[in-house]
Amino acid sequence: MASSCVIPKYLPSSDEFNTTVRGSHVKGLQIHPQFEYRKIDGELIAVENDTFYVLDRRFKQVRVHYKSDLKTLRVFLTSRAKDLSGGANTMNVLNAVLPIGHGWWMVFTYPINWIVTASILQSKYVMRLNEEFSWPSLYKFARFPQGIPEGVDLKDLNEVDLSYSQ
Amino acid sequence: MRFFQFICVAIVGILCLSCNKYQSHVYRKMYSQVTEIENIDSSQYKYLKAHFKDGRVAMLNSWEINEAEDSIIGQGGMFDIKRDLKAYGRIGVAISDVSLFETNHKDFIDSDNGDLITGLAILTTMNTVFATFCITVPKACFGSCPTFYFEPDKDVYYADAEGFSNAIVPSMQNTDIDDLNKSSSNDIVKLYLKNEALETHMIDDIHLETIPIQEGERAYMSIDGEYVISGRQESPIKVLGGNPMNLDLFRNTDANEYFSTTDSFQLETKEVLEFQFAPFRQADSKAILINFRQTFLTTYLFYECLSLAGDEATDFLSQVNLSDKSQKHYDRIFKKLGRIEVLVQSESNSGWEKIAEIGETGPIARNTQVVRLPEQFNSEEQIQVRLRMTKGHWRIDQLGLINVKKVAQPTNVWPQLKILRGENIESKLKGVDNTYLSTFPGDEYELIFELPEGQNHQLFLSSTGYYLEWLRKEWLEEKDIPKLKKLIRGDKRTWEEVARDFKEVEAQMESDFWSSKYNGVQ
Repeated sequence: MASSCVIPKYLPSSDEFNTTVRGSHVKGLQIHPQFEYRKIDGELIAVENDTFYVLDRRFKQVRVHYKSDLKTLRVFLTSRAKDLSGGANTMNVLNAVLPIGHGWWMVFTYPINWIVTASILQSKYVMRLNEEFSWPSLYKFARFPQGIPEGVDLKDLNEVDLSYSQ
Repeated sequence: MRFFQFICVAIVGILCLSCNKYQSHVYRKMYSQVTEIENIDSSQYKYLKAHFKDGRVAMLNSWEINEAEDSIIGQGGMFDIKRDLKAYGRIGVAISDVSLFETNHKDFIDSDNGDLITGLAILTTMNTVFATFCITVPKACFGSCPTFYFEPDKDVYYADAEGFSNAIVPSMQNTDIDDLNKSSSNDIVKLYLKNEALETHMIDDIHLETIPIQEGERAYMSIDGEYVISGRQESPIKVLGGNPMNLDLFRNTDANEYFSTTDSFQLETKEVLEFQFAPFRQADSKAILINFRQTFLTTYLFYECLSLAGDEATDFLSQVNLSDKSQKHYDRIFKKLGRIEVLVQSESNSGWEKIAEIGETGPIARNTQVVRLPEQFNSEEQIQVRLRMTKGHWRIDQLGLINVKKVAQPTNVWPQLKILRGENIESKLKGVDNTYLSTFPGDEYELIFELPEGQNHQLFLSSTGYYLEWLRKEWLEEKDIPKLKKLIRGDKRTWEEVARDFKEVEAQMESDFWSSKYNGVQ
C-alpha cells in the first residue's frame, strides 16, 4: 500500500538498470534569469557544450536547460527499494498494519512509521554533479550520449511514459 | 530516557541507515572506436550498448566482434529513438553506423541493502513491541468509557455495554440506555463495571430497566425512549439499488457486520443501502430494528482534537463545558458526520419518507434500537428500508422488521455495589442526584441487581454521568491550534487532510483490531 505510493516509479531496479536504454533520471535546480528558480525533473536526453535536454516528468516534453544557469543537479540511477527481498516487503506490510494496534498512540506512531518507511523506500543510488563528477562526464548518462542525432525531432519524444516496472 | 527522546533517536538512526547511496560515475565507460572494446573482459562487462548515429540503440548480451572488425554480433534488442523495442534476437550491428559504445561494470552497484533491511527491522520490532503492549494493556492505548460485562474476566474487546461515550465534560452529562441483548429469569443478575481507560469516570446513576416478557417475545427500546414488545421479526430478503451485498451480514446480532470505508477526500461522503423485507401482513404496528455501533472514526477525531489542542486541551474542554457556543462548535465536528438516517417506502406510500435518525457514540459495544413506522405503514405488506449514512462511520450488525405487540413500562432496579478494585466508598449510584461514584483507571466494581421475582425479563442498562479524559503529555507536543480551529470551522482543506490521514490507517484498522479478539455478543 505504502510501497506503491512511495517507491519512485521513474527509477529502475538494479537488474533493470543493466539493460535500460533510456537516459538516467536527473533532478536539479536552475536559476533562470527571468523565472528565478526552475526545477529540473526528468530523463536526461542529451548533453551538449553549454546546454542539456531533459524530458520533463511533469510537463511531458523535452526542455532545454543551460549549464550557466545550473545550480544543482543530481543523477539518479536506481531505486534501492526495488531490490528489496520478500522479507523486507513483509516488514513493510507489517509496519503499515501494526500501528493500528497502538490505539490512540497511533496519532503519533503512524506519522513516524510513514516518514521512516517512506525514507527507506525512497532510497536511491545517486550521483551529484560536483568536482569529481563534472560536466564533461554527464553526457554518459543521457539517452543520446552522442548528442541530439541529426533528423531527430525532440517533439517525437514528448508524452513518453517514464515509469519502470515495480 | 523519555519516550519522545527515544523515538527521536530511533528515527534519526533509521533515517541515517536509509540515506541515499552516492555512486561514482566511473563504472560507466564510453568508447568511440571499436578497437577500444576488443579487449574488454565480457565477464565483467556483460552488456554492450551501441548508440547509433541516428539515435537508435542496440543493447547486446553475449556479443563478439566479427573477423573483419566491421560489425558486432550479439543477442539482444534494437530500440528506436523513443526506446520502443523494434527487434529482438540475434542482432548484427554495423560499426560504421555506431557513434558510441557503452559498458557498465557488473558490480557497479553494491547490491547489499543490509542497511535498509536493518532500518525496516528496527521499525518493525518497535511497532511489534508497542502493539503487543497495547493489546496486553488495552486501557493504556484504547480509550473507552465505563464498560460493563456479564463476565468479570473479560476486557474491553468483549464489552457488553459502554456508558455515556460522548459526555466528555460535566455539562455534557447524559443518560445512556443500552440494550444488553439478554433476558434473565434469575433473581440475581451481576454486571461488572470497569474503568479501562486513562480517564476519570463520574457516574451519577446506574440501574437496570427490566421489561417482563413471555416466551417467544423480545423487548426493544425505541428511539423515542419507550419500550415495545415484539413477537415476530423478519430479515431483509433483497438488496435494492444494484448493490452487491451479503444479506447474511444483516440477519442476526452475531458480530458479522456490514461496514464500508471512508471516502479518501471527503469524510462526510454518504452511502445509501436499500432493502426489501418479506411480506408482513399480520402486525398492527411495525418497527425497524437496527443493531449498530460506530467505527473508530469518531474516536480518531476526538483524539485528533485533543492532540491539536496540546497544552490548551484543558482550556478547550473547559470552553466546551462552560460555553454553549463552544459546545455547538465542538458538536459541529461530529454533526458533520451525522447519524444513520432511516427512510421507508411501501407500495402505496411510494417515495422515500424519512422517519428517524439514529446513532450513539462509541465503537465498542453494539446498540440495538427500534424505529416505529408511521401509522400509514401498518397495513402495508411490502416494506422497503433505506439507510443513509456517512461512509466508513457506522457498522451495521442487524437490520430487521418487527411487529409491535404493545408498549411496556420498565421496572427500575438499582444495584448493590461491591468493590473489586478501587476506592472503598459507599454506593452513590441510586438516582440522578449529582452525587457521583468516581472511578479511576483499573477500578472494577461488581453490580448486583435483584430482579422482580417469577418472570423472564429483558434487560436494559441505564447509566448517567460524564468522564474526563486524562491528557497525555505526548499530546502537548503536537499542538496546532490554528488547525484545530479550522477543523471545528469545517475548513475544507483541513477536513481533506484529516480524511487522508484517517484513510491511511483505516483499511486494516477495524479488521485487525476486532477480528483477532472479538467473538460475538451475548
